[in-house]
Amino acid sequence: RRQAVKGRLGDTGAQCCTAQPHAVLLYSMVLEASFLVIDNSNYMRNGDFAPSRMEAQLDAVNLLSGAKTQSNPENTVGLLSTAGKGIEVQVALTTDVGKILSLSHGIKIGGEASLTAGIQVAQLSLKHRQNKNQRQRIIVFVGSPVKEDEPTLVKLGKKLKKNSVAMDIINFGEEAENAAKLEALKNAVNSDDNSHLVTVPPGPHVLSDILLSSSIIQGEDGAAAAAAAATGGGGGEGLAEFGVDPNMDPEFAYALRISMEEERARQEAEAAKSATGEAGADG
Amino acid sequence: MAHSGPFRCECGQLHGLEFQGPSNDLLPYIDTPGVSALNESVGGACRRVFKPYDQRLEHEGFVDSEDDDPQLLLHIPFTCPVNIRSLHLVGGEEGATPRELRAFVNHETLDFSDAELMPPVQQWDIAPTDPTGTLEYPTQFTRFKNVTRLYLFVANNHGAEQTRIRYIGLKGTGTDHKREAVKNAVYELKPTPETNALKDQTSARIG
Repeated sequence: RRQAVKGRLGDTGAQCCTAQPHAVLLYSMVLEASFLVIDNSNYMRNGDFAPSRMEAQLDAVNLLSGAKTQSNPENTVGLLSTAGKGIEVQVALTTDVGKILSLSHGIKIGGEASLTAGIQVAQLSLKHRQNKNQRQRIIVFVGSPVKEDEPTLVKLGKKLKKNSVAMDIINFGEEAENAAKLEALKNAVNSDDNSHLVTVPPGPHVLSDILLSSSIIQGEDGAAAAAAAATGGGGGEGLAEFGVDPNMDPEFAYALRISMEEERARQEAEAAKSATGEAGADG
Repeated sequence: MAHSGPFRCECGQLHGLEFQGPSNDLLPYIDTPGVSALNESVGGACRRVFKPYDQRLEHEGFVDSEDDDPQLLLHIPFTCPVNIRSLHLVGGEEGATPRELRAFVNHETLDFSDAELMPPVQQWDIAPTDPTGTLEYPTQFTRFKNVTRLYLFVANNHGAEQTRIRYIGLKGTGTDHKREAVKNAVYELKPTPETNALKDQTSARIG
């Protein structure tokens, strides 16, 4: 559902910015704390995703953290790596996307990924988030063979579901080998379609582009989160509708967004009322 | 003022069934939209479990835990601090009733690992069958004063694969203390004659 949202400002003829290829359409506004779990094992040196799997992953991290914080300014994002010398939380939950971007480039590649341990540390970090009203989500990148067996993953998935943690899994690199296990994990965590599995097919692909059109950014019904701010290396050039740069003036952009949502909700309520009014008149 | 007390209140009606002395049904004080549960099979079903005492046996409105997991963690926020005297519970049939029920008071948030590790404020052993919902489980009243959030943890049940709860009733007294922002206030850097209503009396006292 891609609606061009016309709020009060749409009536005054304000121009929608159409220069960006991925224009911002709808904001999801769910208050969420997302923990990104990335794979920094030796498999990330592989060049099948240009320039290397690690770079593609970091680009995707850039995209996702920008999208999450744009969709609701109170959203927080964290980052941890699963290989190397051990599970390491690179960035604790923060609203500052810049911190994630600057620290993510210092992550060293090596060792083997421990998926379940990484997910458990992410779950613990989410549990201790500052704003308890935020929903909990873990976004996992899997780019190397999963060591753990399927029953272990399913058990972990059920525990996450029980504690109301959602999960998005990005299966790239070794996707055929890991497909069954990750599908089982996603089904175990999934509750009311809150969790997704994105499998990146083999071949030259840009990981970020695939994610952009996937349900991780788009949400269940195709409502796009703010993709524009995330591309372009940190969101310096992202432009929302009305030509207002959300990075230059975030409060104004936020206020515009809220007023549009209210207007849309009001119009929908009126439409619903007039529809039932007509039905009542006919009946 | 709210309809409280056994005497005729401002609305002109006698409120009979709701008020039986020191222990009233706390349903009006429960913030029902804010009720949530972990491990329920249908999201939001937990809110339907809080209904008036005389509707407790009705069959719509129950919450089930997930398949093959009897545990359930209910979060009940209140609109003002309450003092809870006792608890009523109507469970499911054939072993789907909770067995051990643990209460935690005024925590900001709890999940299952916290609920299992922390000592509860009180634990009740629920009877396997109580089809009429008349069993009352009293609380240690001193520990349940000024409760703004209650967590009820169903640790296990009487043998079924799922736990079902049809009704939860809490009885006690509410305090009607509300935390609200000040509505009508005049903020001033220094007192001005227009806003100072006491100016005549003050000058009389000083002079």
